[in-house]
Amino acid sequence: MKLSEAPIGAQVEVLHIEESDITPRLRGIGVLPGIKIEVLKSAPMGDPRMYRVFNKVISLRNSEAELIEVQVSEDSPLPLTFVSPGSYKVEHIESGKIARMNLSRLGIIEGAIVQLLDDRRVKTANGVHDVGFGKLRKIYVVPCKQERSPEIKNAG
Amino acid sequence: MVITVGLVGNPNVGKTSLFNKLVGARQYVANWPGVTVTRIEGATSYKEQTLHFIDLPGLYTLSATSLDEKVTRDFLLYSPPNVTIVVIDSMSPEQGMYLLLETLELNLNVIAVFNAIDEAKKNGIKFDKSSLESYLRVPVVLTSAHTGEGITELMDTILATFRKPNRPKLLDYGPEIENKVAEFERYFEDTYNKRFLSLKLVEGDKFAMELLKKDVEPTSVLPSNMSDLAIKIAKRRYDYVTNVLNRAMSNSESAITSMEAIDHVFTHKYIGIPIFFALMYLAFNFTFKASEPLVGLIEVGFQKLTDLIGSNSIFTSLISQGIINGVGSVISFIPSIFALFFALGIMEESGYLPRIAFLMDRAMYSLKLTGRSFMTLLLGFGCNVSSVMAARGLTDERERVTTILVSPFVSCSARIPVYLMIIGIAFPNHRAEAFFVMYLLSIALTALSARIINKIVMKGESIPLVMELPRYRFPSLSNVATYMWNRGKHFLQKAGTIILVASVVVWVLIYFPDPTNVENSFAAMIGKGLQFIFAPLGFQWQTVSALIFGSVAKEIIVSSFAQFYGGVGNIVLDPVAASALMVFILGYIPCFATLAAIKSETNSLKYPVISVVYSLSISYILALLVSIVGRVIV
Repeated sequence: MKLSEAPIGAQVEVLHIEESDITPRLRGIGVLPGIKIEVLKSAPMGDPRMYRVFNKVISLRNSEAELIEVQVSEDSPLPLTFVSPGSYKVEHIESGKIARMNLSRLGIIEGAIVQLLDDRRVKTANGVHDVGFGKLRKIYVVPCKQERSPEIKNAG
Repeated sequence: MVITVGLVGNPNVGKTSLFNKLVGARQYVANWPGVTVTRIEGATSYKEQTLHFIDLPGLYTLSATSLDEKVTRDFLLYSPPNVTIVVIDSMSPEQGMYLLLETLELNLNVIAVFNAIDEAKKNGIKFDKSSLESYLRVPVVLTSAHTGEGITELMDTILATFRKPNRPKLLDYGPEIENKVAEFERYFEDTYNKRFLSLKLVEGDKFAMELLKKDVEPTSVLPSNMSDLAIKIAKRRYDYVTNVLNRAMSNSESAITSMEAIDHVFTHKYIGIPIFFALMYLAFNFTFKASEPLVGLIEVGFQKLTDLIGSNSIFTSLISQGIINGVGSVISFIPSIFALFFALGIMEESGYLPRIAFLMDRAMYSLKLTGRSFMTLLLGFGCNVSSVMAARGLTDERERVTTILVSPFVSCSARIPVYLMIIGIAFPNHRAEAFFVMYLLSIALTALSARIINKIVMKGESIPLVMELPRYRFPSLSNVATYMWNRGKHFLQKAGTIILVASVVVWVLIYFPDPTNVENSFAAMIGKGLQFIFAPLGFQWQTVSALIFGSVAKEIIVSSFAQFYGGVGNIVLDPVAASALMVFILGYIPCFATLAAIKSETNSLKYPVISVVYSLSISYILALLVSIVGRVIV
């Protein structure tokens, strides 16, 4: 996928960079094939976004991030909307207090094991719940060790 | 013996703080020959040697695509300093060390400085200095510009390196690349650093192509898989850097967490921009509260002095009215200007401003500008001439001209005393609010103008931007003070030159032909003659004359008003007329210095003329609107 499409919170690995005027500068900053980049956050309207390369935080517009082809690292936390059905461990929840409380009532707390079903509902220790897209997007998970690593769905 | 020392480093590594620490206040701004990118230089003496420091523009790579990068590289290539210091951020050393490896290719006398070592220590990062030195093969100094740690050691190392130059062994890029480099070396004249240039040529650098021997055609010699080779070279450097750091750096825990919570709020999707406006409002409030006692004191002082001298003869009138009242009315606002730059200095030094550029980038994008030109325009709050000149740093011609043309709408410091005077008269109880509104309006007018200019005059695509967001730092008092002084002193210089001369001219126009009654003066004749143009706005002849004199420099509006009424305290303005006047002053005409800068930077008369016509008409329309709406409401 393109770097501009990688979900916030994910860690990605650079595969390929399309040549442009800013490629030399990107190389200098360390954006090179094989290097890991962390997607940090986005400005209002989703553009530009902040990324961490080594220990520096840079801002890239989506029009430039599009030139960078990446894949999500195997151990990177991903939002539940981004993964295929399977069982996952909740890594962190990107929400305010109230949303967290609501989710914890469903049994979704950091560290819990949850299962994403084929119909996009979530099975937790206390039942099966229809969480809704908006909240699913805020729940970051890592695959459970025993399972095969999930296929990453391309957002595009 | 003078030892020249160049400071190189990534942007935001604390290079300027280190420079301030090394030379103190003995610094000055110089221009690069041929270009208007400024460079800061300063000298200090140490152990009977004179050390001359040059702070070079920050960059990530010596492959130059922007003017800043070109300036730094040309300097290192054509006039290499005796000693080159590569400043590396201890908290994120990788990129700095990459630049270090590139700099070594230039065969210079290099010292590697790991700065911000105090922060690194706090975050559990430790460096083994001797193994860094043995892997990098250059002297290494660990410093903190904040606490002063390592500064003396750095001075000693500079002297030692100067006496006993090191020529470090260079990185071996492996046979594929080394063979190409060796092959390309024959395409360059002997006078150049052939290895550096042929390596750059392998990296696909356009500048290196320009320096090929006359008879060499670039397309015929360059390999087809050039971008692969460029990546291989960069990867080789980063692999080396990572290896060195694995051996010489220990990291007890993953760093940077404390500031993430703050950053979450400051760059928040929804509340980030409101917080920015709230902080600006606070800054303006601070400006008034902090400078109030001093401003009052100076005003009273000048008033007493004027009364003491009196204005009975032509000579005493010139001194008391023309010079003391005229120039003094401007000078009394200087504490406010310094206070404002103090507040802005804190915002800049703390690393907050780039966040604003990040939040605003999308909006700038729709204006076909970049966060980069946003930063250029911010300079305009100091002086429009600086932002017009700094626009040279923008690579895209369309963006550059747009930035130049909208620069005059950024409310510069010369307009501060004018607002202060009018606000003090018409809105004594809502000064910070009124001031804040003027700045908001200035931003809105700048944005609107960028939109209009892009639609009508220019057409084109927008340009890429890579910007670093530095971590937050606690601003040191000395850095903020330097920032404040460098921007505020311009004002003091103007008070002694152009404002003084203009005040005397205004005095002449008021004193003659009838010293007893200002209504019969030449100034009044000019104002009354042109008053009909401004009748819809409700301006008095005094205002009209002041606006005409103020086209030279905005501060002269204050000086003229003070002379027409015999002191700022005697002026009467109702809120509606005051609002219309301020809106008109915000954009009515760029000052002479700005117009001259626009002419020289665009190299044509067309743009200054466009600028004058456009700004006069838009200000007139806006002021008329304010006036009409105001009369309806009040």
